[in-house]
Amino acid sequence: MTGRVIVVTSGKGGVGKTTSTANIGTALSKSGAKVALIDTDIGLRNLDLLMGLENRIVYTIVDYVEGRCKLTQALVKDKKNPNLVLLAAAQTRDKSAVTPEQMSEICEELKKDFDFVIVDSPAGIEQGFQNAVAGATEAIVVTTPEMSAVRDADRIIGLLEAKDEIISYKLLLNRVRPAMVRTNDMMGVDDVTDILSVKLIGVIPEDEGIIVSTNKGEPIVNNVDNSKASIAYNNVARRIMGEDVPFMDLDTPQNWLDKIKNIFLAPANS
Amino acid sequence: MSNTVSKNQMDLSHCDTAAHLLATLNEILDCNDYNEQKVKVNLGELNLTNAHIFSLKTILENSNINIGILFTTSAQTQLAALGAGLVVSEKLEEFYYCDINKEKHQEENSREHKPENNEQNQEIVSFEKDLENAIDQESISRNFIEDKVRNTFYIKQTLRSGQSIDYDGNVVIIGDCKPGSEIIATGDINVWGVISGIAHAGANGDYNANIRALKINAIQLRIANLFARKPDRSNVDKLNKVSSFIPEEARISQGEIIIYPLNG
Repeated sequence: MTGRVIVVTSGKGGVGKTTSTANIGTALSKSGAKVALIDTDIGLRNLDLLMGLENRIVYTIVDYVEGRCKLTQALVKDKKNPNLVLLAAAQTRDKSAVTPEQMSEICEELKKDFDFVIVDSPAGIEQGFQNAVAGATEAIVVTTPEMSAVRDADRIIGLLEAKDEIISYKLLLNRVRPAMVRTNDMMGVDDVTDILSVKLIGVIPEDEGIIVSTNKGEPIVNNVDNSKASIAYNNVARRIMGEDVPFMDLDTPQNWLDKIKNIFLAPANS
Repeated sequence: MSNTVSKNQMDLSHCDTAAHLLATLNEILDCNDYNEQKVKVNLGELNLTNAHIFSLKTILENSNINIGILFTTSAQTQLAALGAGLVVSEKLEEFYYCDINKEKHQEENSREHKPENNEQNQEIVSFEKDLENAIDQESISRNFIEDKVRNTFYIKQTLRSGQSIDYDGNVVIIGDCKPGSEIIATGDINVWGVISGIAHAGANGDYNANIRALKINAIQLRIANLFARKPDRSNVDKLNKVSSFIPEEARISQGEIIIYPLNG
């Protein structure tokens, strides 16, 4: 088996790389694929927290590259999904503890056993980023509809284009607020894709449920009540697996209260 | 001088105050030539503070004398001496017998911080023939001393995420250990605060090591090669907000790490 290695990156911090990694990975594994998540944010790790696996980490990626354990020992199994594992970053070290060569060796190794290897990249374009993209052949660039994030995403896309190993890169637009887009206070999906001219793989609406899920250590795609963010992440996973899923209409109100509000607001908006 | 028995011994056990000790010490140093020797010092049951021990050490070092081993029955003095990095024994009767300047014995001193080598040590160390029996009888209490002789790392600071302590000996922390921090010690871990990070006591395989804290809320506890993790629950922790603490101790019981409250 040869799996796909996908790096999730952004340049700017706080746009949702780690949240997207956790949710896309979980969604992929729920559909039956074997998925390995790698946290390359050594020294500022968060992916384990979002997955709720912090208390299970015994060995980290640094322990593996420094020869203190086998790769299989360092893989932490997910609480719910046996198809999903996490290779955690070390918290007490820094990015220089791993080299790009070691990273690509790890990705090569994991590719043999997993359908998807999803690499969570740290913010920035320094060694952490170089490590994250080292073994990857595909990239998902996460950005939010803010000028600063879009500018950084553009920089990252430039860097990814320069790498021959990256055969495809797609855009994930995160934290979109449809109401603000309607009133022209926020860039819309088209605005962002026009600036970056990169193919879109998903649009995730802003969702308070993400904060709750982060604090709980449970990816939002595991929630039973399907919030919009959860559906959107599931759609991203389906698109990654090659399905042609139409982009959902973010403007549709979610509950009856919103629907009633919308009836009153609709004439004003149009 | 009645105060000394041989060139490498310094018997100060009859001193009852620090001032008396200082006076006696000056007397001894004036009358004897200890030049560049490792000396056994007997302090008897005198209580000394960290400052006293430090002065004693400095005075001796100024006269080119190193303290090879310090004998005292006072718990306070033992602590102070351990803090100053000295080798301490509470078996006053050994004062006259053990010969610290012998090379093999020095080897033992340097190994004393690694209790897992105890058996090995006892094979390596050869005592003078006429003392062999006496030593055998005391081997159990010697092991006990060697445990105590472990160095202790004392730090007065909150350990934050990403900071780690890896120490060959015991660790005492005055402050909290935040999530993401790591303490690894070959001996015990004592935290005057809340442990929320990872704590690994007895890292070289000492099953008797334990972890003590005002509140053990650790993400993981490890003792020797055993492992315990915090139950899965919300990351948002409200436990830090309690106003009073019952100190807790984690130790191995029947092959498991158990946290016991220390409330009397």
